[in-house]
Amino acid sequence: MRDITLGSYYRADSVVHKLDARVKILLMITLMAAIFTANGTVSYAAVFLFSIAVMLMTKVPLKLYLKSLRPLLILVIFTSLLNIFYTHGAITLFEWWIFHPTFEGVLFSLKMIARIVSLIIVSSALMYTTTPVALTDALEWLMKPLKAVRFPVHETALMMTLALRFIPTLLEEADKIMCAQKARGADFESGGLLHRAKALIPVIVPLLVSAFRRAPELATAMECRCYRGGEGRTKLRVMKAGYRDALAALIVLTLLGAVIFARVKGFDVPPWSEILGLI
Amino acid sequence: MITISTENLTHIYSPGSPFEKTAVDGVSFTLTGGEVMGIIGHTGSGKSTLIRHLNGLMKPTSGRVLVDGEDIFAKGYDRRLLRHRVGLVFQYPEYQLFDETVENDIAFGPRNMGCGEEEIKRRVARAAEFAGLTESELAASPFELSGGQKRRAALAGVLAMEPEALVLDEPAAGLDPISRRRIMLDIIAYANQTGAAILLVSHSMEDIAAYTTKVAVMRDGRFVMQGATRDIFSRVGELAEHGLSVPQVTRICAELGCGETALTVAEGAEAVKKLLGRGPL
Repeated sequence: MRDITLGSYYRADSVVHKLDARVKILLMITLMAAIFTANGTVSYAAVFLFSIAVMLMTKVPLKLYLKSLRPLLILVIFTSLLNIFYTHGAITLFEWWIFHPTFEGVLFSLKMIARIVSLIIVSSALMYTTTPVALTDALEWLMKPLKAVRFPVHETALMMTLALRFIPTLLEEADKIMCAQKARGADFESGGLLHRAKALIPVIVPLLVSAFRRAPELATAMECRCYRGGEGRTKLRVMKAGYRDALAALIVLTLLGAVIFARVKGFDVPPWSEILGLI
Repeated sequence: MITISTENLTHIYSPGSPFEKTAVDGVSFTLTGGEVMGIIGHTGSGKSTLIRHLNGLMKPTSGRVLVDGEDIFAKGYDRRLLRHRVGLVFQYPEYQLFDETVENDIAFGPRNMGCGEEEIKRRVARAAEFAGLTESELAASPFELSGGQKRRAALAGVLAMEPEALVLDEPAAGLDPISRRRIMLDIIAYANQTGAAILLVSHSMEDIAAYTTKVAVMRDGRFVMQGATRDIFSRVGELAEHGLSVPQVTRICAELGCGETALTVAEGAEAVKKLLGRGPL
């Protein structure tokens, strides 16, 4: 359990890593909007290729992206099969038994694959290139308007930061306690569900005890260093958006604009039957 | 009598990743019943990783762990049964106490072993005696006890399994001098009465010098020195090179030129008296 990394941040030196976290979150939302707006073949291709470009720019190993795609693989395969066989269209590719897949069906399922894959790539790219601390800082900043309705923005952000901070600590502790109880002959692996749940009591009780012991200790330590809430508190890492962020925003907004334009104007390649007819 | 040995034991954390770290590197040693062996070394030298292999909690990346000549990671070897024979007391074991009473907590091990109620009672009573726990302490909740009492309760939890080998990771860390001495004497009493093998990991050179018969010095995952305790502590310069010291009394005697290496205050006093030519009192 020692090699557990928080969230899924991957350290690398890339343009995407250097972007301001607030900008990155907003751009991810913008990109998702573009992905959902796209409806023509060209728009889909543009959005998909843009996501791939972002993925390559992050300098995060492709293996990691494949790992985050894997859980959705079944969904992707299943929906694309359904789309191929149940979309009605003018061009039937072949007929076999009750199946008569159409060209439109294949095209539609490709679009859906592009949509799902792009969504995953974009959200993974954010997680891989932004540290959890930067993410919470950015969220705190983005939630600022909620202060108007008396939402405790700073406290929420602090809670998130602390929770993230203590995940590895508690995991390590849980691992240690489990080892210790195993050394006393505890068995976590066999038996039915109830038996296994019961077997966890000797782990959960000490873990909770230590968590409750830690909480006041942490509070005292913070008070000793004069922590007294968010009012007038300055940041150690001041978030600064620069020309790089402006450029990224410009590119993503242009993409969204183009996709919206294409949708409103109904711009797309001419009907496929015509193109295929020509060949 | 139990014999635990390792052959070229190596453990690498997250091999193949950027976080790859060799924690234990080609360690070989043998420990038999009746022996008290110490392991010393800096924090992060791999001591805690090494001892987790001895009862099969961790699997070596390469090399073997043999108990009575049998490879404990061979197919079909019952490692749960092994844990009944090799007791492991972790660092700060009091944080593993969980049951409503100390008595029930001590009974956790024997109960897992499948002992009958009578046998459990006998084992709890015996372990409590070794650890010096009173009736009222046994009936108390483990969370009401003081630090030293909790530590002894946790030790009793392992002793109740009546292991043939006892591996302890810093059993006296963070205790006051009296509790410290008490817990060390409890451990030695258990070893003397049962003939168990003891492996003691400690940062206290005084404890290692006073209670062990042989010592291994660990550095960066390797055993850099290994031998009889007296022999190891006579090599003051070599130990200093590994960032370790010897007990103060040993150093004083060495600087006075007493000749023999003194490991305890009593030995030191004898040596100094001899040096002064007064002879024993």
